Amino acid sequence: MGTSLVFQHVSKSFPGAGLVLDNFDVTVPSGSFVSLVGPTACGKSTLLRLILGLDHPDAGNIRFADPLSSPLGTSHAGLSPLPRGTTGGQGSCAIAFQEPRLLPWLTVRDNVDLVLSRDRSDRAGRVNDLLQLVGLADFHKAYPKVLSGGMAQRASLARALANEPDVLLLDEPFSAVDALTRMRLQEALIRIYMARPRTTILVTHDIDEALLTSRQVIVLSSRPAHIVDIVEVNEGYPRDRTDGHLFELKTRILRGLGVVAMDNQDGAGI
Amino acid sequence: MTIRQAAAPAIASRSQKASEPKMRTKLPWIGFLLPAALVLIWWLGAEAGYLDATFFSTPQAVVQTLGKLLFSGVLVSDFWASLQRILMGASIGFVAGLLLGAVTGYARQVERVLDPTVQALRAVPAVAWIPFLILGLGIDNAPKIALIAIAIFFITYVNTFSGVRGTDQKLIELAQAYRLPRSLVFRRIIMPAALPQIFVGLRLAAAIGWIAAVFSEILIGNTGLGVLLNDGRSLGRPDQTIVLMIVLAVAGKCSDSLIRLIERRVTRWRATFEGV
Repeated sequence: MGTSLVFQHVSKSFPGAGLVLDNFDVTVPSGSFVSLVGPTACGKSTLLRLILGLDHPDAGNIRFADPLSSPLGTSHAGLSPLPRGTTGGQGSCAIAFQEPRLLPWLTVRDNVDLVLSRDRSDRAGRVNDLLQLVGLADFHKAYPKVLSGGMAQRASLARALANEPDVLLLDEPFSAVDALTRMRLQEALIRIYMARPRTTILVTHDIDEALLTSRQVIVLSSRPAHIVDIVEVNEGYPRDRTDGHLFELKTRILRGLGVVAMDNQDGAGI
Repeated sequence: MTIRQAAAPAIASRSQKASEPKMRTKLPWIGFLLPAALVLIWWLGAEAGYLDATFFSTPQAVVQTLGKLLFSGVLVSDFWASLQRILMGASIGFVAGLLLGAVTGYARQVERVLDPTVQALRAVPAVAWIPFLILGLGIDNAPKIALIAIAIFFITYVNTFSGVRGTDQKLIELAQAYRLPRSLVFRRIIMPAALPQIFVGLRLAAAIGWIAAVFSEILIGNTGLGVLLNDGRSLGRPDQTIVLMIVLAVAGKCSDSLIRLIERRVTRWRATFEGV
């Protein structure tokens, strides 16, 4: 189901910032939920921009591969020629940013409708379904200024899901909301993922969030970012926040990030 | 007991009011206090002989003259003549400024080609166009409408341009990430983002429209408020000039209020400081 995402030796540098991504090489299996954790400004957001085609890698390439319809060679590095809302073997992606980035002059409904593919029939019905899904049905006529941070982020999520993207990108979407709201949003995200497991890449600082939501946690080094560790999380959903195995994995991730010293096996240093 | 009963609804109504977005309706007449006080000082000063009537006239004379000008229909027809010019000139200037400002703001290539010329022409004071316009268009309606249009064009152009450029880069990035078609980006993102600044331009344009109209009428008028003003001067009638200034003040205030009313309706989505 869906599209896998293949990174082949992707490197990217910015003038003045030097090398940001260093030989990033990984395959995100189709339908998988992958989190990227790493130090601040290590290049995680750059990676998302590369996937979206907002930037282009200096070396290597990023490919969408549909295991069902097209062989793994259908390369279109940079992805810039992709038309909006393409589905199927081409691989469409959508993003929810760190801030909701709703258009303040459009109602919640119109914000979602804006990105809906123009040639889609029953757009109103689709928007209703999406708002229902994220629990904003009652606020469809509201302007963004009256929404709470969590509500705005849910609207942003609805927008990201509008065209049924093959790949869903989430750039620290819950980092600016309070802890309780964040837990609710994480649960909503898992619910949405369970309903239709699409390839999802979540950039986050919150290791608990990564462990709660992802099948795979990719641990990145500080700049230039390279992969330090890939942690498989095999627990089923929904997961228990207090699960002992998750705690072990958390310690491992923290060690990968250099937060916990290598010899401090019991994680007492947290 | 009675105190309590009275207090309870008072608290309720207060909290209700606080939840309302605006307290604007409170004391709607408060804005009239200052003009009323000025008229009172004027009247008292004239009565007491402190104010020279040949220069300041008197409130009574002004009211009388206003009545006469209204009754004879002169004021109405001249007001209408000025207003028509402003509306025509403003439509032309505003639409042209809006289109050119939007396109130039949107496309850097167009900016490189057009903006230097527009900025140079903008540096020419609007009134400096008058001799040129008279030579080309005569002294009837056309040069006056043209002057209004020119003045309003530049102010609209500048504000639309900077409104477009003020669009949040993050929203443009959003549009790129979602691969929104260009026309949609322009209509649903850039123009709404520019709207508040466009309204700033429109309010300035309305003021400039009245200025350009009256100025051109004083200079080369046969109809319009500027002509009545000029008549007041040449006939040595301060009361008539004051009547005209009051009419212009009221007209300018009304056009500004109308624009602000429209602005509030159109930009209801805004989440900005509205004053305490």
